[in-house]
Amino acid sequence: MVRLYFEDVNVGCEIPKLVKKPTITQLVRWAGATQDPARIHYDKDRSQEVKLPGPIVHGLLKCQWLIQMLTLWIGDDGDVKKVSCNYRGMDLPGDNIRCTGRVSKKYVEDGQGCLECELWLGNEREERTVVGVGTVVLPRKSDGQSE
Amino acid sequence: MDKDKKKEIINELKKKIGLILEPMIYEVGRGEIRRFIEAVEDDNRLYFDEEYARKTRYGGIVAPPGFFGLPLGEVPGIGIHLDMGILLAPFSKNLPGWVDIMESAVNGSTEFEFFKPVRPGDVLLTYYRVIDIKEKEGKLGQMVIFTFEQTFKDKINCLVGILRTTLITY
Repeated sequence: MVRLYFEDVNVGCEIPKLVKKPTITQLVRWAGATQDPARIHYDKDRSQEVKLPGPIVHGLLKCQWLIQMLTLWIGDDGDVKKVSCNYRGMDLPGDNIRCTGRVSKKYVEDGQGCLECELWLGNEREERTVVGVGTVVLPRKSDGQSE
Repeated sequence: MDKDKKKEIINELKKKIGLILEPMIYEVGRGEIRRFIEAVEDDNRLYFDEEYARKTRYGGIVAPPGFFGLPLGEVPGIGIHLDMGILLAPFSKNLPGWVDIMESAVNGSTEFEFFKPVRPGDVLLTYYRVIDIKEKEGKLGQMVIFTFEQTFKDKINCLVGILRTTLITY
């Protein structure tokens, strides 16, 4: 993996996209892995009862995909510091989901090279069903040298 | 659920705003991390391959940011979304009502802050707090927005992470 340094990245840089196509099986796995029993994510009848178009993808799973996009981008030498997500719309099993991000701020804080990124996720019907912000720290080329 | 019953339950929770409950204490399992990354479909070897992870700056397997283990209550089959109900159960005659409200809640937002990596075998303490409860008129009628906070600490009392969640019910 190519090591990504703070100096390599500027405001406006795009984060490599991450694509997902969830299945009901994946949602059941997620429900199990997070001990979330809410039936609206895997039970058609229950979803219709509460007026949803069908089982919907968990918000937290979508947030986790945005985190995955960040960690894939920054690699094992970078750190994710913060991620927030607002859920604006629904994503359904079978949707082609695209996770996207772009660097919006670059700054140094406590000697650490920080990048704030706009994040969003959407499907073929709606461009942004999740809108978020993520902050990551990347190693600096000057790290380990005396300043 | 009828409106009066729902109102009663929500008022009960409103009295608990700001209250920090006794922490839940649990150990993070390697298998739990494995099931989590399988569900996400995240194949970063740092999360499951000990030999690979040893050569990184972590020196061993860590959980992906976003995973803090499973701080479950003692009520089998009832999980994270319902924790607040379980934790309040000792004060509440309304647990079944809680389950009903939380079960059809949708997630409004998530906010994570990460301070320390989570490793298999870590013993974590989760502190829960109700931050806010707002009632609003929305497009779909009356809605209630709950804001919860979970603070995760390790055995030496260092902050590991924070998760703030809003859940919306109609």
